[in-house]
This record gives sequence, structure tokens and C-alpha cells, in this order.
Amino acid sequence: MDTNQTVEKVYIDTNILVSYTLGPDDDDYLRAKNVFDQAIRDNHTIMISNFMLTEALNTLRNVITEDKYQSLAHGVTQTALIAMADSVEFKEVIAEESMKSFSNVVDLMTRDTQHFKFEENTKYDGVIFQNSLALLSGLFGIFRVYRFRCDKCEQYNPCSTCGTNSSIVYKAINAPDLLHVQIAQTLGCTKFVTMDKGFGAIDGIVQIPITVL
Amino acid sequence: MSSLGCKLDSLVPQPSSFFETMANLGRLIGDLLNDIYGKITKPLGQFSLGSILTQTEEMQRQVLGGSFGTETFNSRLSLRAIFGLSSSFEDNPKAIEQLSGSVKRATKRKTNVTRLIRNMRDYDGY
Repeated sequence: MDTNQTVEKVYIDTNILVSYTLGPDDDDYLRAKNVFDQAIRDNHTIMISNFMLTEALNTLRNVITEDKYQSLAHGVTQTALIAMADSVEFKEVIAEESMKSFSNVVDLMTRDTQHFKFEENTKYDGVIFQNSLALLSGLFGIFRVYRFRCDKCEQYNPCSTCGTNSSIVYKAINAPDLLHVQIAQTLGCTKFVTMDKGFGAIDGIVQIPITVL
Repeated sequence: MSSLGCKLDSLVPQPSSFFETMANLGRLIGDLLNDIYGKITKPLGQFSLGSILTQTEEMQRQVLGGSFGTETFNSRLSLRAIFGLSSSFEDNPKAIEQLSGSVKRATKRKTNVTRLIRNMRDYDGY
């Protein structure tokens, strides 16, 4: 490696970290793995923000809750699900499993000084929110139509009462997305990497180069 | 029990180092003396228990932080403290590989985390 070469400081989006830690059972694992492989190969520094970690923990709790739901038999009733949701045991299991997994992730990352860097007492300027607002005001997203689908068996079914089978939603880059970008810039990162195609809308508009895998 | 209300101590091994033991002991004695003698420890200056405690913690930082560099050592410690992880840890450049698939799950259900996070950020459908 050329000693004069500047070490690339890469900001990773939450989807990359979580997908990598979930392993091959995640659809995007191989794409996420490329980021880490490249960091090893080219000696990149992966910048970890506290905001990203906060979102990652919440994502993990969602994944583990969804796992529990999917492990239930088909035909589970609303009454049974409410009883489960209200039970202390269920909450404890999800909380402990997700915290144990996430603690392990934090343990591994903090031990690896060669590849991971963490923000320390970063002072954020309120202007970053103004910049995000200005940016968002100049952009407009897209509309998407989604068919109704059962979360359990994943079959598409119309509403049993009115017969409607789809809904229309507005999809666009959003406040958390822009906040990630602003944080990456504040932390002096040289690249922002994500697997979310929505970020393509701001590549070339924001200062930091955005790579959508 | 951590401040987050989770039983992290039972989940994560908590090996204590010599420095941790010293720091904890110093803190315990310092608290006790402060309760009994009030302001006595303050005029002791550099020989006060508070000072010794600070020096012990600083020594720990220097010894452990040596291989980490000072720049991010404190941020690593702070982060580990949030999750109840030990302040004694060794540098492991292979950890990045161990991170792959490190989350153990109850099912082999396929996930699409990118879509899940997109939905979380959009908060759609609910």
C-alpha cells in the first residue's frame, strides 16, 4: 500500500451493518459483505456513528420480533397475538435476545481498531437540519402502488369487506436518510455507502459521494 | 443490572482487570471517606484518593489505549459501557470477519433488512 495514500473513511448506512451481521439469510448479505471485504483488502476505515447504531439496535429488535411472529403456526388469532404482545415474558425474550446480539456486535466492532472508527464527542451544527430541509424542499419522490399482502403466508389478498386490493404510497428520501448523510459529512467521511436505491436521488447534490450498492 | 434495565451482566462475560479492581476499590473507599470526613479528602491535593483514582484510570487508559491510539479509545470505552461490556479488551483485527453472521436467530426466515429499514424510516402502512 502506498504510504502517502489517504485512508478512505467510509460511512456505512444501517442496512449494511445489520445485513452483514444477519449473515446469508438476509437478501442483501453478499452486497453488504463486499463493503467489509473491501475495507479489509484496501485498509479502509469504516466510520460508525451513534445515530446509525441507534437505528441498528431498533432494526434488530424488529427482526427478532418478526422472527418470533413467523415461528408461530399459521392461523394465529388476533386475541392470541394480543395476549403474546402484552405478556412480560415475550417482552423480556425479545429485549434480551436483541440486546445480547447487539452487545456482541458492539463488542466485536470496538475491538477492531484497524477497521472501525467511532465518533467521539462530535458537535453537530444545527445548520445540518436546515440544509436537509432545503435539500428536501427541492426534491420530490415517487408514488408506488402496493398490493395487500398477508404478513404471515405472504399471499396477496384483497380486502374481504370492500374488495380493494392495493394502496398508493409516497416514497422518497426522508429525514433519517438526510441526517445520515449530514452526519457522514460532519465526521469527515470520504464516501457514503448504502443499499437503499432511494439515495441515488441525492448523489451529486450533496457534497459527499454516495455509493448505492 | 445496567442502566438500560437489561440483565447485561448475566449476558456478557465481565472479566475484571487489575486496573478495574483498583479503580473500583478506590471509588468505594473514596465514597466511604467522603461520607465520613466530608471535605477531608479535598485538601490532600495530588495525594487524595480522588487523585489516585484518576491516576489509576489514566494508567489503565495508557496501558490499554497504547495499542488503540488515544483518538478513539475513549469513544470505544463509552460505547462499551452503554452495553455493559468490559473496559478491558484487546485489539482484534479479525473481529470484522467475525461480525459476519454474528447475530443468532430463532428462524432461518429470509429477511430483507434494506426494505425493513426503508419501511421504518417511512413509517408506512401503520
